[in-house]
Amino acid sequence: MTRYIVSRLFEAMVVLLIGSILCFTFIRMLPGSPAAAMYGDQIQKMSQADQVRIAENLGLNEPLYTQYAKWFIGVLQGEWGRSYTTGEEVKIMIAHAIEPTIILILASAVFTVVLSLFFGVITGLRRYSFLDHATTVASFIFMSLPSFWFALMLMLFFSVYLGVLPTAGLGQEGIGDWLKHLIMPAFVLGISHIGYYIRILRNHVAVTQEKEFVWALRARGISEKTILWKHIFPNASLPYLSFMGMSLSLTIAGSVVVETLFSWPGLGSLSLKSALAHDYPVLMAVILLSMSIVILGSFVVDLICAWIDPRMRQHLLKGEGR
Amino acid sequence: MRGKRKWFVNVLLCYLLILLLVTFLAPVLTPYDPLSIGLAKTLQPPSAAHLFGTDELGRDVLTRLLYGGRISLTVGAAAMMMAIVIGAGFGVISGFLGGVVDRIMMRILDALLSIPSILLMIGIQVLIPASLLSVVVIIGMTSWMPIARLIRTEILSLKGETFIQASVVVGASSSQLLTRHLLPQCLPTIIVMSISGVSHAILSEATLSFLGIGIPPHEPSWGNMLMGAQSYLLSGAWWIALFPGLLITCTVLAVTYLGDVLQDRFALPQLKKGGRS
Repeated sequence: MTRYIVSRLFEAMVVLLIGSILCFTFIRMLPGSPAAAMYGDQIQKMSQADQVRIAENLGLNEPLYTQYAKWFIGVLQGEWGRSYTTGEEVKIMIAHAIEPTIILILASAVFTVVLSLFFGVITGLRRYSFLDHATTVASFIFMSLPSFWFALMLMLFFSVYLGVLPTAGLGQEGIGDWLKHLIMPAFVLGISHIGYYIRILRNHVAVTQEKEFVWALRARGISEKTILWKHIFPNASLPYLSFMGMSLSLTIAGSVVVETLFSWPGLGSLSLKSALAHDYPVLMAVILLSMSIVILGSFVVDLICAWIDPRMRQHLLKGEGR
Repeated sequence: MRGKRKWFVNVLLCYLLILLLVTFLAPVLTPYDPLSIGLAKTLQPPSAAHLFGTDELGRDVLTRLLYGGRISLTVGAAAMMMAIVIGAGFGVISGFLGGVVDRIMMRILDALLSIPSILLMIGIQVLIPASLLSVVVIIGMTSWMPIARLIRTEILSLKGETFIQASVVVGASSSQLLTRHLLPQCLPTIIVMSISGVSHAILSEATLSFLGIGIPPHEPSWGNMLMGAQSYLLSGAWWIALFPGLLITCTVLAVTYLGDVLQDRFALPQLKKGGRS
């Protein structure tokens, strides 16, 4: 297990390194030099000598790899720069925005897990029943719905016609109000990939159910309930878990749309706002941070899977790559 | 079961065919201009004259839907083709060369895949000015990664097959191996991926345009018709938002389902995002 953790950690580090190089290259491709970004229009009025001096001070004459190393160390130490539009430190802006996003993603995970466990297991056990067909149709529809449009339709129904749920912002007045504000965005975010979860669980429950060891358990007279939760479910939960790790990036992507729609003051709406205002330091920080979260998330999920199922460890150690 | 599915597939095919026909015949079918503004008849609910109502500038929603379909479908097809070319190229090189090159290329792929797709799109969008072409490029450049991974796996497993080894033994060159043996074998995968690529691209275009970083608002697309819809929706003008969304959903549903059927037909293993099976 230790060997697995070390090699998997090494892999995650390499991916993070490559990702940060990509981000750095990207920053360099942005319009305008870093000096211009710092001094704005004044740079045009400066003398040639001053411009050279500024470039030297900022380290722009050094080879690219030294510049990258300096930038990367700076990022690690929390030097994320200041916003172009508000002048506020990016670090602080991110710190404010990250909490609402985490709440939203956790709340959406509750919807995803509860609904997909329920429908996935039931349809897996009763394949080709009416419920199974209905769930398949619903899954297809949810896979094809643009999530922002689904959110609009929910708003139309719950906020315009029924007038029971608010359409924007965080709830400030007590827990009831807070929940009211949370429920629609979390549901939209949670439901957008639920079709995949249900189908994974359904197929694996169905396949495991037919395995010989399950028939052996039945023959020994073990109750169906025990077989399901102690034997079938753990087997089916592995692909489910690893899909969860993979879909973290989809969920963060979804949160950009959902947060923008519901004026939820999180990382997603911050990233879009900063992109529209050409506020590159903020946008870059959000991208780097989301990337790190996704890499960390899939690392943790892989560890959990390897801990549950020793076969998963062998796969990486044999060096087949994925 | 089988018979039911065939019937449904035919319905979907007819739907797509009709959709293509009406969007490309739009100028003949509708008396209205999708761009002309009529301030005397803004935000009219559906009526006999305007079947799907009019929008906030008095433009006929149905007309704009038909013209918008041209853009959305074109973007979908073009972006898919770009993604297939980049993805298949990357996957073939990575899988064929193997070794260190393969490992480095796969880690680059991992890094790109860990950036949430919309953030990647937003990032690239900053670099190129918004236009029809830029939307195609953005979607193409951000959706080739799953294709690359799948093609690479396919090439890797094909390389172990006896008929490939036999061709190597009789002295086939690398380019012969690739064009005559490996790529044709990947064709079913590429076809299925390109179909799911179209639905992904249509959805992405809609999302980008809705967020205001896709197709510029002047020319209609299914996504940017929904752009301002939120505020009008809250004041009760439901028709502006309902119809474009329904059309996107139906189209994506049809394409996704057909892709799924083809996947079964080719008996391919799990595809796309590792999820669908």
